Amino acid sequence: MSDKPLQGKLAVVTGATRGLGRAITERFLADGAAVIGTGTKPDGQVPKGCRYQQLELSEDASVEAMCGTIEKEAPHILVNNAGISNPQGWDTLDAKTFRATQQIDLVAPMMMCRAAIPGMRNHKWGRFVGISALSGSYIGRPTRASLGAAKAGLVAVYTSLAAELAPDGILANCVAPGFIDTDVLPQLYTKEQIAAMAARAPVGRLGKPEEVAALVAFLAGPDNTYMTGQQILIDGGFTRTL
Amino acid sequence: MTKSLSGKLAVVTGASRGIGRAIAEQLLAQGAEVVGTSTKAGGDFPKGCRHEAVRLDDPASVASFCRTVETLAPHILVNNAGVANPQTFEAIDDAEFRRVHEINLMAPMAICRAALPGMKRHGWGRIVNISSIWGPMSRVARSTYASSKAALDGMSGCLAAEAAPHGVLVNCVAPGFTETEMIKTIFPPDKRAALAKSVPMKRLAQPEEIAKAVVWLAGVQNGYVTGQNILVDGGLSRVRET
Repeated sequence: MSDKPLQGKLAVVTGATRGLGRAITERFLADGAAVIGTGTKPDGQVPKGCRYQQLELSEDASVEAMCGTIEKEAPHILVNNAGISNPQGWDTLDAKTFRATQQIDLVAPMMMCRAAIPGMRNHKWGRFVGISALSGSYIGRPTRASLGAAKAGLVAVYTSLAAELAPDGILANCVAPGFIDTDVLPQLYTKEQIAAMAARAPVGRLGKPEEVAALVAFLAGPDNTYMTGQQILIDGGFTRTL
Repeated sequence: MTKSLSGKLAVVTGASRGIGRAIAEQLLAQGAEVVGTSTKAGGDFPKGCRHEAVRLDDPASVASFCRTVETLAPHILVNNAGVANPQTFEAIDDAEFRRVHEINLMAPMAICRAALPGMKRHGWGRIVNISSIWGPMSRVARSTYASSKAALDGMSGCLAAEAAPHGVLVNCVAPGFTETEMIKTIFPPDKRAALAKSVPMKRLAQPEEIAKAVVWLAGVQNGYVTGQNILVDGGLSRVRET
């Protein structure tokens, strides 16, 4: 195994200022890739050495500008990581929020994937990795109708990418993280809830962002040459066991 | 790169050819000590690979090897060896059904059971069992093989639940059509060309490509993936082109 398996590769990672996206960006940089990371703020802080572009996934103009960058820069790797969960129970679930979630978690990623295809075809090499969710293709959870629909849709988009691009050696897979110890978690859950989640996974702890990043790096890197159209759960055994 | 598996001992069944040999080679390249098995003594093992003759269809031979495994206390176990013998449902021969299950399921179970105490003592372990796409997918005449491999996955999911608290992660890898002697025995060359066309990537896998995924799951990069059955199949299971 090379010390810098991603040397000479350019990656785009959405949501690179924090959490999983930041860990993925750090991992890609350490593996030798150049990275363009996005965040919602004009002056978002990304890891050192990472180029930055502001991206508001809810705004078409911003997504189109990002697609322009992708077309111009022709990344070898695209990681659609940024997303929003917008939890709402069915009694309050409204169409506007539902639509807004689909725009951010599904429509904008689709547009960016489309923009990345010509460059990957030119390179005769490409890796798409989408960050999906346990909610959606795998399990139903209360209040996750919007997220689950969008993420199941994202998986379908990636499977379709896999189908069309496999003959060109371009691989598309999703990673579904379980409960991961990011700065997002305390915003969504109480300390007690987080402790209960950690205990609920058979491994008895939350996942680390670096552990998810390591899986993304495998799927996005030269060691993956035959895995495509898959969704890999990284959840410490949570989903499969009771 | 420092060798990530230095100081780790791995046991790989069926390491003299095909996918198992590629796994043993890659584990050795990453610095692990490897004990491989084959049916006959003195098979064609990779350089530096220790080896043992084990007949997986012979419970006495398996029991003897299990005592060796208990003593070795490997950090990594890959149950790779297996047999496929397609027989249509009405032609299923009970003795052959039992023999295939003995090799593909009973022996891996016994070897996992023998390896678990050592892994618990180490507080670290990785088990990868080679399952099959014949489980998630099906095809005529695969009932004997598919039932043994699906059972192996079911067993692995449960082992994942029991072993996780001890830092032991358990997964399966389901290879798609791979250029091995097994596939050459089952499909004549013209059929293999048709098989390759049926894969979205338009080719069969090389054993090394399956091994990369196995070695990732068996290594230190994997910290939070457990209880999964990972399909490495060139898109076969998830894609239909018409």
